[in-house]
Amino acid sequence: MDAIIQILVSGLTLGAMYALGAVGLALTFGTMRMFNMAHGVFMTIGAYAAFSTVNYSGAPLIIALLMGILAGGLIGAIMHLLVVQFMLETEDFEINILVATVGVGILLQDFLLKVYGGYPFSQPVQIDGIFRIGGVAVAYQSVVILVLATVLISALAWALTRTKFGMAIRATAMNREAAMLMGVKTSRTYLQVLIIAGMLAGAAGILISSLSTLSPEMGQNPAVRAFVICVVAGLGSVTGAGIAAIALGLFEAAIQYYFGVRYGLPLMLALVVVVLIWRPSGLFGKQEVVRS
Amino acid sequence: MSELLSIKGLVSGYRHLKVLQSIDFSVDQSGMTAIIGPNGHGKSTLLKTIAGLLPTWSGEIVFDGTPLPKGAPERARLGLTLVPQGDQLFTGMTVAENLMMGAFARTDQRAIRETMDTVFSLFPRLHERRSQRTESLSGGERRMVGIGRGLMADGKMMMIDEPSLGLAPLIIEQIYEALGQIAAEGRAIVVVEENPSRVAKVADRFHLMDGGAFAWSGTTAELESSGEIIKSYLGA
Repeated sequence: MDAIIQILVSGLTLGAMYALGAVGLALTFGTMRMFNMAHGVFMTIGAYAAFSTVNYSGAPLIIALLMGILAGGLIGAIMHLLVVQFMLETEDFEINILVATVGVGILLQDFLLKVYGGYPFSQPVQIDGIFRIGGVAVAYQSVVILVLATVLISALAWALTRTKFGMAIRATAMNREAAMLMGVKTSRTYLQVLIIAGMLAGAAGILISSLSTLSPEMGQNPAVRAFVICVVAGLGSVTGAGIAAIALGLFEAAIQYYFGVRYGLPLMLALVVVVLIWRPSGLFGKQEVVRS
Repeated sequence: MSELLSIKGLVSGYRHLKVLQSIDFSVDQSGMTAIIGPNGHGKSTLLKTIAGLLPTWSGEIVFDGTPLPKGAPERARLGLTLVPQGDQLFTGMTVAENLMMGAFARTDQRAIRETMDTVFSLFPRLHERRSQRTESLSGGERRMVGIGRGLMADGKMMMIDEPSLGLAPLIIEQIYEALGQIAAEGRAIVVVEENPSRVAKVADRFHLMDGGAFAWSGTTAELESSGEIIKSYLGA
């Protein structure tokens, strides 16, 4: 029984963090057909922004958390305004933007290295202490992670399905030309999507760094997992990315519990290979159907 | 009668391929105009260029007394509605959500609801299926959603690209009956159709598109009397 509770707690914690990272990535790809290779660095920037807020102003944790989320959104907006918007209409956009965002990612990561150095700081934005469920020790931080991820993803789901602005995003994702014919200014929609994805990435970065440490390359590993989750879910499926993230978090926690931490990622990747052989377009992706 | 849409010397195309060769075209404040002719001669290109989905290479388009801005969203907000070929619905959304997207640029909720009631009375089937996703609809129902979504914009002019495409004859009749009703209410409609016999009863102006230019233009009576010209173009 304790084993199951242990796996559930750490699996849901992992899954919640993965979901925060993957949902933003799925939204970006689903709406713009854009693989944002700088997504991992967006997480890192959120984490460092929260760290700096506490370190230099001593602000309360909630303010630091908000600053980290805002920093993620801000960097998303800046990347759209300085890079993405000029490439939207180019031929082979999907390849161009992939290469361009790799470049943006390297640039930002080196910038962080220059400013903060490579020292692995610990993230001050977290709550210490544990409580027990049965014989299992649960960190308060795990609860914080679960609650924050649930709140942010629910807010996104609500906005996408219940508000006019969210409907415009979904319409653009489903059919860009038709959305334009309805009067949706799609370049503004793209800006909004990158801001939202950046904010979610910022939040994910803060939470991830609270479990390990801050470093300029801390976003790489979670970004790889976010990509994996998006591919397993089916590229561009936002709901699917959320579900796949939780499932893979639980799977990884079970593997770590029974076989050891180092087998987590390799076996997760093996599972991905199996899923893609069985369903090439992902669990929630649509098969490409040619209609006459 | 003053003209709602007036086009002079319009040239346009895809990338480096010139399709429209200097089109002069005008549409009155009300009534149905039909652009007919064989496939691949620029009918859809003309509608897409007017809607702003394709760039204007040269020439001018004046709509409702003012030159049109660049960009499809801006034009849609001025009341220029295009119902594109093949419906282009938001397939992951319900019928009602698709219709609400049609009213995206409008803000008066009460007026939007009134328009939706009008659409439902025109196509009662859509009311039955309003909370169903559009990907599960039949071809005829999808076309109704496409036209209904166009109506939701409550624009000044509605352009419809091949409303009969891929539908059974009985459904085509229903669709054209509805379009006839809309036109009778004093709205300007432009229809693109390959086969003139389908629109002959409801439209009042006809333009035959051939090789990116109008080869013939006339009224319903002139269309009937000049049957030979039209037939030779359409290979009937």
